[in-house]
Amino acid sequence: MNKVNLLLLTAFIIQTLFSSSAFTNESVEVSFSDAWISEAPPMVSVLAGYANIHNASDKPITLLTVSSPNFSKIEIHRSVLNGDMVSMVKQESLEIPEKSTITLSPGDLHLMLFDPDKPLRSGDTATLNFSFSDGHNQTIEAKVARRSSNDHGSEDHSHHHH
Amino acid sequence: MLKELSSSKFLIPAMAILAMLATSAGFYISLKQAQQPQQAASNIEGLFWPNPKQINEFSVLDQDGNDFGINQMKGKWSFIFFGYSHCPDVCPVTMSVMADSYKELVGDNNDLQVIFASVDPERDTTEKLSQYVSYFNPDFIGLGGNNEMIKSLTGQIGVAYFINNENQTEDYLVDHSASIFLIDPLGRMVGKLSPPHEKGNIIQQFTKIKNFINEQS
Repeated sequence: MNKVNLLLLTAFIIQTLFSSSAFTNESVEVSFSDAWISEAPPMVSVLAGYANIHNASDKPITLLTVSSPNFSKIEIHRSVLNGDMVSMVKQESLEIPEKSTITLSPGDLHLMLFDPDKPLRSGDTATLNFSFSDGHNQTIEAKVARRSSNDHGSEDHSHHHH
Repeated sequence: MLKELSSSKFLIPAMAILAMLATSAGFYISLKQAQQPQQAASNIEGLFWPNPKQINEFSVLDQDGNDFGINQMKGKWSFIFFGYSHCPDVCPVTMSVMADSYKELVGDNNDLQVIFASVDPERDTTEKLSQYVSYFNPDFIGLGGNNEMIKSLTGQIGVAYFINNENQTEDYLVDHSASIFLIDPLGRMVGKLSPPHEKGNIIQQFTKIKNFINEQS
């Protein structure tokens, strides 16, 4: 009888531990989809990263920094067209409003990835670490893919859901 | 009696209306035919017509280090895009769309050339340009050279660029034109394709402009 109780207690504790750790993750309510990095031509040491970032919570959250063991530096940029001229404008942070998705896509918002530690070819993956205003971090693996002319809008480059 | 009266009563106006319709239809068709060349020019998106700008001599280097000027454009349809290899988003996006468009166009057009002209003389060496353009297509041409050379080309096309390197860093950015310019085999700038670039649009716009220009000669 005691043994059974102990067993039940242990099970309960384990379950609580698991669900509480799951809950910490869940409370964040930020998820990523279609994360990919464009393969760069040879001798080019800058790449672009794209993804959809979903904020399922009922309050806005701000992406502050992105880092990676695979790159020397990562910045959030937006390609902005002004008349005929295009410039890249560095974004100090990126707010994702409540219950919405921010899309980083070719010709628009993107991550600028500097100096890969090794040449990245289509099929490789790289680690991206996102830090948010509420103090939480999220790490994803993004697949490297060659660009195609279908990159505008609905691309199906990768299959990363975290 | 009544029947006969009503039919003759309506027959005459009906015939008159029919005759009027026929006349105006004929008039409309002849009017449309007379207007066609003018209308076609204004209907073609991106076409510079009439009086396209004649591109005069300029002097840059190609991806093999050879001199490249207006003579290398004569006899060919040239797509020219200004960018820099250290550009992670807009330039490779445009070049990959150009690569896919070229693949589709080249079958019916043996007089095409696609040119990537660098506006970053410091970082875009001949060797780098060579590897850069051939990544997209081995047929593509990369143009560069020193500042003065690049200005001889951008001045002719009339595009501006701005190197943001006040802090003298290695990772500076360059503002540049997002359009693709179209030079005809006589060296005239006959069109401009505006972003966002998309394969279907590029093929359609190029084909319309080329057909129009061919009809003029």
